[in-house]
Amino acid sequence: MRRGDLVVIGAVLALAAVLLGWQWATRTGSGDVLTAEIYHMGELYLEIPLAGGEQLFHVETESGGNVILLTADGVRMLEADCPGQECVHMGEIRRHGQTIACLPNRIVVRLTGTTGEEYDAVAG
Amino acid sequence: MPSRDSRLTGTRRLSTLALLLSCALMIGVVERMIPFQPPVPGVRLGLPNVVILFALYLFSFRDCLLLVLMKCVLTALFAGSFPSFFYSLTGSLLSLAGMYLMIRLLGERVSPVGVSVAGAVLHNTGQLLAASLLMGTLFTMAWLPVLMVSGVITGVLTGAAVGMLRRLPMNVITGGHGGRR
Repeated sequence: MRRGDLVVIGAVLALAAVLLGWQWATRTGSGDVLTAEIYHMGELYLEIPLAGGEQLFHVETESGGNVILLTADGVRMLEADCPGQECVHMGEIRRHGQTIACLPNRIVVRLTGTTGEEYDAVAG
Repeated sequence: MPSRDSRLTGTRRLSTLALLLSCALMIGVVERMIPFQPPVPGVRLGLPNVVILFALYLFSFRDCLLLVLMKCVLTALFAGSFPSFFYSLTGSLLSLAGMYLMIRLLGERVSPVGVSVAGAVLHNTGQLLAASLLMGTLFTMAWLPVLMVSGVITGVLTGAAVGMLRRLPMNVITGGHGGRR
């Protein structure tokens, strides 16, 4: 390792810290309730507030389908008909700004809004 | 960086490039066999980058570009869909350009570790940019900080591997006579 290496590593980590800080600073959502937004090819397709119970959504696109499960606390991708299954393995997202993306079907699920006090306990 | 006149030429250049290409492909296949499901898609060891970076120290930019293009096309034929080809191509090209410029501009002021870290982070950045483009949304960029940190970790590992490879006598790799470096 040379000094140049440390400069590169330091610069990357500093940039990552700045980006994380910026995400942290802008975390406050617009509403009081966590809302799941489902996008297809960049267009908002569905917007569902997490109302407490479990809800299943089937999304069909020309390239394949996904099953999205909304729970009381978050959203997860339950099924995807792609070989990678990356989105399924991401598990459940529970905080504002978190995103699950199904790249083959070009579906993005994103959470917005806040959950009040629960927030600080899980952030970080 | 080796001076231009010590570069491999002729049949040896061709056969070494072909050897490196097949190495990169096989390492990629082996890497995909490791059962590892990251919480964020795109986090991976990036072992094929060992081969690409090593090639950058041996061959011209054009040869390395050819190597990267062939690697992306053949990987897509083995195990890929159009989106995955698009992501890997964008990431690989951005990474290659960045690593080449670093070696060219900074020379021995950075070791393969620094170059590899920059390459890994650029690879991830390129993939996220491609994803944002395909999905029509910038939300996927939210993963960038996580991927930057993972890029530093895997970049240090793969860079150290390239450093070790560069200390081998050249004939181990090319089958020639004596250390031609």
